[in-house]
Amino acid sequence: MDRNRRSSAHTLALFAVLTKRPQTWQYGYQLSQLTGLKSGTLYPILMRLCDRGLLESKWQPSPQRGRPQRHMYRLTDAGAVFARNESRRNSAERTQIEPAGRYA
Amino acid sequence: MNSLRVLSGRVARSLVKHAAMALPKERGDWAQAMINELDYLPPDLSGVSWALGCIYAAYSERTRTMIRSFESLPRWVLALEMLVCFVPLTLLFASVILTGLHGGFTLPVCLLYCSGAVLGPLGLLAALRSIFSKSGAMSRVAMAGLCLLTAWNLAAYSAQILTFGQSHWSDWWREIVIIAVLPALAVIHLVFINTHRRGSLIAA
Repeated sequence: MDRNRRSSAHTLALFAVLTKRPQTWQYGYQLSQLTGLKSGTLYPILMRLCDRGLLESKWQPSPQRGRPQRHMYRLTDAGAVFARNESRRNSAERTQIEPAGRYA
Repeated sequence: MNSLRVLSGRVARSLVKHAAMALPKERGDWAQAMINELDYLPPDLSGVSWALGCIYAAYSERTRTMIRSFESLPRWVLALEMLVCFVPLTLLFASVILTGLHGGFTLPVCLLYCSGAVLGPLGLLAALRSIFSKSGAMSRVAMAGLCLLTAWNLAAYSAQILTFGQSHWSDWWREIVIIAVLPALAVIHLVFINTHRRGSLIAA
């Protein structure tokens, strides 16, 4: 049922960061810094995207000894397509709204 | 300065561990991810901020899980819950009407009692209709009406206790649970279910 809903501005911000380097695995704090999202916003979005098969995650051992492994994330193929479509839809809606707003 | 860093590190660790505990079991990986990520944050207050965010995320996730389990309750369980919550107030409504008809109450008192107790039969009807009807979710007007009646019932009953007074807590706690608390909880649950049902109908 959620699939017909528009992605939130936070999700779009995350998509923008993830689609820049779709093949690169990125970790939570890095994503938080790049998107400006706090962990309280970021983690629920990551969980939802993983549940929907749009994001994949893996554990990566730390190169530094004694430090725990990190949870890394990147878009799946379906996720990359979805993210591009959502960004396109969002920018199309913006361009439809902007002219009306400008002359109102 | 150094001790402040150590302290904030300890606070952040405790907070993020709490977040990990609050997350549902099936989110074990995410709980571990939150804990591990803390080791890579700069040793300042940003760790505490991160951990507080994790608590928020964990609570929201826990709430979502609860919502899903509430939504998947069998109809007969919901019906039973509504019966338990609304039937005592419905009986009170009936007894107030009967007493009023036999001249046991003056008209203003009877109207006052009825205005609060009418939540019983109305709530029961609305609940059973919402549970068993195939037509969909309860309307917003009906939900708002039930909420207003609940507020009025709570206010009227509290005013009655404050006005007439009761000698001891044990004399009236059962009454307040049966007359005010149970129907209020049932209404909250009804509104909760119907709001989510409306959401899914709109999204579908």
